[in-house]
Amino acid sequence: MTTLARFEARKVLRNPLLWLGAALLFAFGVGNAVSYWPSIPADGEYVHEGLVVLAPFALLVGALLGLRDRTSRAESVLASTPLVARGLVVPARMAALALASVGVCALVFAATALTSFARGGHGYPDVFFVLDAGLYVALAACGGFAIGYVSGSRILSLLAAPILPGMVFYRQGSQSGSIADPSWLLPSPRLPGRFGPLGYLPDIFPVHALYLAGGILALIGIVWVRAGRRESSSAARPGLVATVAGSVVFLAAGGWLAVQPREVHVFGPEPADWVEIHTEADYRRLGRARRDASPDAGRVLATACVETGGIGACVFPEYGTRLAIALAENAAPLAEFASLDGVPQSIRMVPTADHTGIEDCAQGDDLLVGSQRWSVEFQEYEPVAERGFYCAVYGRRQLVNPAANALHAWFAARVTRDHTGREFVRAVRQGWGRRAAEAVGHLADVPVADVVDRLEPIWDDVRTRDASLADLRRALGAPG
Amino acid sequence: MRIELRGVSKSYGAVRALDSVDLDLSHGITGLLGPNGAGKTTLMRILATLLSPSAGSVRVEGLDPSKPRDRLELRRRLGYLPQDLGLYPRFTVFEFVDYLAILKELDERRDRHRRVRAALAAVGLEDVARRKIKTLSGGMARRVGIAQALVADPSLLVLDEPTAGLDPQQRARFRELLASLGEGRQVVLSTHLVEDVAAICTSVVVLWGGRVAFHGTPQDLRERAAGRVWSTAEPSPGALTSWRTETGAYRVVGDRPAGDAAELPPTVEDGYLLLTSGLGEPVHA
Repeated sequence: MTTLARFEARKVLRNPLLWLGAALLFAFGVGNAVSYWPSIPADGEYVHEGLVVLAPFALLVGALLGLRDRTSRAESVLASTPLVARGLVVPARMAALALASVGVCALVFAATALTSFARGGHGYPDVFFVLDAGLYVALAACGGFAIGYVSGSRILSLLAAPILPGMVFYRQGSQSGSIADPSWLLPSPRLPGRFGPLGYLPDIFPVHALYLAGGILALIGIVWVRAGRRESSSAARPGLVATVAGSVVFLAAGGWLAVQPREVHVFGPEPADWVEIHTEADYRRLGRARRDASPDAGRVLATACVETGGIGACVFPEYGTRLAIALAENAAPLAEFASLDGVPQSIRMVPTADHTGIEDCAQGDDLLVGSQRWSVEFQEYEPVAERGFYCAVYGRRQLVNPAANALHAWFAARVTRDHTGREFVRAVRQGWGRRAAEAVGHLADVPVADVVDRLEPIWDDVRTRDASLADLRRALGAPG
Repeated sequence: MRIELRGVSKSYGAVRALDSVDLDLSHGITGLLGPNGAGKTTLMRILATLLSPSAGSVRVEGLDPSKPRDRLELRRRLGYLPQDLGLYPRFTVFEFVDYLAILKELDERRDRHRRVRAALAAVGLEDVARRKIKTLSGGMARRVGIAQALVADPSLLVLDEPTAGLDPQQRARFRELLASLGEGRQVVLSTHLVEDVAAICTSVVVLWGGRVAFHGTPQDLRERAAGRVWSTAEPSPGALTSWRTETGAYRVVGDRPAGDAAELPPTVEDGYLLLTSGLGEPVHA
């Protein structure tokens, strides 16, 4: 049986359909990661999101193997062989499919990680996560085999290839949000919260991999029984054992997954500091209780530190200093505002993500960045510097203040490249009125060093919401 | 290897393909003759353990194919070429025979590959071993089928229409091969080609309407026509069969024709024609 499985695995691995799917998945993973590099912890996730690309090809390859004897009319010649009499051909083929699928999937993950590494990434593999993704593809391949073998229909196999993985993908993206949401039970679940070095929370992947492995074993067992029964009850018996064993594992793991929380929010490295979210009520309760709490409560976990251009940055060591350098460079514009109170001059990574209801603004002199959020977003639309300045002018209260709005808008226009200055002024006029737009426009005409000097007398008033637009314009020496 | 069939019948619904067949076959090459629908392929499939008889018993070297353990053991000793041979078109010739060798429990790679090469050489396919099966002619594909039947060196070879699709040269070569294979093992082949049986078989079974109409040596079958084959200048309307030969004379099988007629030495085919013409239309109960 091992010899046959090896032979079949080699044949499966030579199937161009599987490699076409793998190439598309690789392109998808790398393409998604391009704009986020160095998005160290998320490399695997980009591949995971693209599994819907590979799964149909795997399913089709499995279906073609399941159909092979029938379409080629080779059943008679095979049926007279001892291995068929022992009922071992079907399990050997399905095992080969499963192993080849896991292998191809792991290869795509490795290729994506290597590409990311070459671009400055410094990821760390999550073995269970990669295994789980591979098992999903394996399940698709084995499912395809079962469809082809049992139905004997090419049309059904061709239809199933896009439809079944498509349904999983659709369900993955349309979770209901209720506690009964079975999304952890999907063969390819939505991704849990990502907390960098702390791993996935809830950490479903070791058990989910077991869940899939049980499902695959049960599926192989069912088809094995069907094939073996044609020969003898003794040939079908191992299939029955596999079905029962696989079902037990599948159900036990599925039961555990079904009661896992939708989210886990981290307020410290110890599990005692974590908060599970099962329902919307949990979520609201957390928002109220933690509104002003610091996410890491003074613990220092970010020990990979750099200082560049006057800005220091510390990240979790697993991310490497490359991310710290990138964060510090991104926050460099804040250095010019060092003389203004509350403008952070250092950045510190904390073990939390977004959606917690907690502002990740400065604690002391540090700008706090959540491990998930900032690792993927800081290069794009919300530069670290802009975030730091936002925290300085608004603090945690976020009260509306036209002077603060104008200053923030001016700073944002400086550090983002999404708009020209003229476009930005026009946007401010539409949003906050003519006077705010004039203030922003005037700020843009004054050298930065002069802005800082002129802001110092009214800075405390800006931060306490007492300064008006007129005060700002006067301080800057604007006419009228 | 000894094959014993006792009262073997096989029915497909209302159609009885085999009807109380009793046969004893031992070492050598046995040819199964009979018209379409005589039950040849059904009998071959029963011997190849693919079908179970509706009634009666089969023993091959004492093994009972209805018992799973015996059936497995029998398959380990069996090489089978089905009439409706299907091959994997995307496999190479070597891969396909290698694959069947694996299914025949030849696990040791080096030894298996040696046997595959030998089987391909035996059927003259060593030069096309790397070609995809879908590129082969019908005759070559048939030879791939023969190679897979031979690859595990079986002690029982069941070959259903092995020479169908082969050209005369290939058939001659196959006869040579089969004659050598028949030494020390049991070969059962079915065919429509009486000359194949005459050339290589040590015994002949003629099936007619699912029953055994004859079982003996080719010589026995030929002797049935002794004194009943003639050469005449004119066709003989009353004969069982007659045809014009390349000399212009007519070869007549049956009673002595009127007028000048010279007796000819009979062939196995003459014996077969005489035998089957006396049996009437095959009846399927």
